[in-house]
Amino acid sequence: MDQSADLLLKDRATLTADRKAIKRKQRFPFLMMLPFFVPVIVFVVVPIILMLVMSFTDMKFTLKWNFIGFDNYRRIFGYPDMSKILARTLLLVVGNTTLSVLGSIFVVVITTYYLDIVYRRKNLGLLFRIIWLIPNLTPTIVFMFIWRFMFGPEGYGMINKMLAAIGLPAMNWFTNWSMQLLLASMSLSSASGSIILFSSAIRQIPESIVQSAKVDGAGNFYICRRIVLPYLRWPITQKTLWSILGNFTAYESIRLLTGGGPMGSTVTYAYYIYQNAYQYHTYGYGAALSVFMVLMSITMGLIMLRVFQVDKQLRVPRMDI
Amino acid sequence: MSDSKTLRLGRMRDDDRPYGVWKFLLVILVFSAVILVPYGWLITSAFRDTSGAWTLSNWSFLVKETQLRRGIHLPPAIKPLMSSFSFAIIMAASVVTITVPAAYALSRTEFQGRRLMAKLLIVLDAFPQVALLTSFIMLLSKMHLVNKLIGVVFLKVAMYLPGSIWLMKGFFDHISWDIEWASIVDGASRFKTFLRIIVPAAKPGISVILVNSFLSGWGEYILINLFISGHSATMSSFIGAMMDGEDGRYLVPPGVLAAACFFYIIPVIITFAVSQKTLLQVRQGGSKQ
Repeated sequence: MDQSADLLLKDRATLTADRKAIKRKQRFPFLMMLPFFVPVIVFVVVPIILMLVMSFTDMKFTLKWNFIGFDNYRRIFGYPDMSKILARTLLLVVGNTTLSVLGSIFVVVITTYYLDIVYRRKNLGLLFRIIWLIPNLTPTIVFMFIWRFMFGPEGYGMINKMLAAIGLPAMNWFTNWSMQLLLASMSLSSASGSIILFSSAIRQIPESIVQSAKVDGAGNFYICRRIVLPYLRWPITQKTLWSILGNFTAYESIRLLTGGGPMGSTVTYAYYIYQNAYQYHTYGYGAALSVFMVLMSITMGLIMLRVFQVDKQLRVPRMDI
Repeated sequence: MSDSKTLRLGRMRDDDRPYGVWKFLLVILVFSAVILVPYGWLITSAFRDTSGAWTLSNWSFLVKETQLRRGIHLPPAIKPLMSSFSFAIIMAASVVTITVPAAYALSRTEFQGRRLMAKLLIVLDAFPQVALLTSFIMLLSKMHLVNKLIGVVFLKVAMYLPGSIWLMKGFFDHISWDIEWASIVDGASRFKTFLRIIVPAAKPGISVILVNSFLSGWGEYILINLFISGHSATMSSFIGAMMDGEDGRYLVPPGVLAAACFFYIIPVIITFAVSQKTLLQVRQGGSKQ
């Protein structure tokens, strides 16, 4: 009763003063973030709007606006190879995500759990972790060159030279095995990208838990399955979500390894957008294709928001200035 | 000196570490062959000619012109090397100067729309670069930034910021409030406290952002290839020009390409070696858990 009366009595001047104080409090964070807003608005938000508008035009390399309504969208649904492209994209996403996550779990369990913790060979564990970091550190162009170099044609590639040395016929890797090569190379590089995340998760396991399990007579493998892997659940979720997104939108690796070939057999959805932008110069159509990709990635982003619980990751500042 | 050595050797002998590590060592060694063999092949090829004899002639691209096709030559690698360096340094510098204050504000101040901001960062971080390619063409040509490396730097930095701010925010979350309170009580403003107290305390995190963005700029190929014509804008497009060939064959002998690739990753190796401790240990502080 008293309180509400108080509130009513609070005159205009105090209210405006309050509002001013709130505004003043906003000024500092806003100024700190201003340098971030400017480039993001110019180079991300404006392009998104441009993309939406361009998707209704038949813009070509002359960059002339010519509105054609929903024709680009109709063309996407009428494109006969679209189902093949989508199936291939799905294969790449599922294949790479599975391979890379399983591969890096395997590497991290051996290097961080067995070498570091069980056998206490910390230097060996570190050495192999660094080896497994190399693909991720290598610039994509060099990484993909190495793969092209290894699986090059007869007389060029290492694999074919080795086959020749043991008397087997040379194989045309990039004609018959291009999708497999793409899967292998991309999953290797993305497996390499999760080594640090996974191994730091394992290192956070309190030693006492492992020790007491040992005292209870648990074997190393049992501990690995029942204690170590559950600790990896969160990083695995994180990596899986990012890997799905990353593989769905990957085009640089495809451009560098196979160039979409042979005969368009490694063209994925992202690469198809790239082709429309840079090979066919059909910008309007490319923009319409991009709209779907953006919708997909926003959906993924929203799923991540739910999974990562972004709200809970914001701590209340313990200062009020 | 020698005493401690014998002591260590003595401890090695009655080592209480369990036996049988060789099984796991063998497994991981075999598994690592997918990395060790190709990189070994790359490095040895850089020093061999087409017949397999050891040579240094592959490295002449550093000082001499390299012929791609008849009449088309690549200049010596010095100029692309320099522009690669400046590209990466400008990128790293701008990422750090923008990321650090913004991440501080997100981590340690309260403002309207803070939650929204955090969500926006995640969604923007998940935003695919390929979807914006078509609009980038339009935007860069309207801004008269076509064929200029600085235009590509802008694009890269803008796409890179959301992720790096989120990572940096994680580092700021772990800094104690006591030092900040102490500084405020001493009469410093919030900004001064940020500069003098918080930034030095967040140094490991800042160096992670610095190294990561430097490496990202150093390795950039596709955007440079798309928006910059010619083939010696940076080291990556220099190598890209050599790689442009039909069905797996290249415009230059493979040894030269291997040498150029090896040369291109030397700065990466040096950067990693210098910052290895911070990168390996601190990275966990950023991305949640």
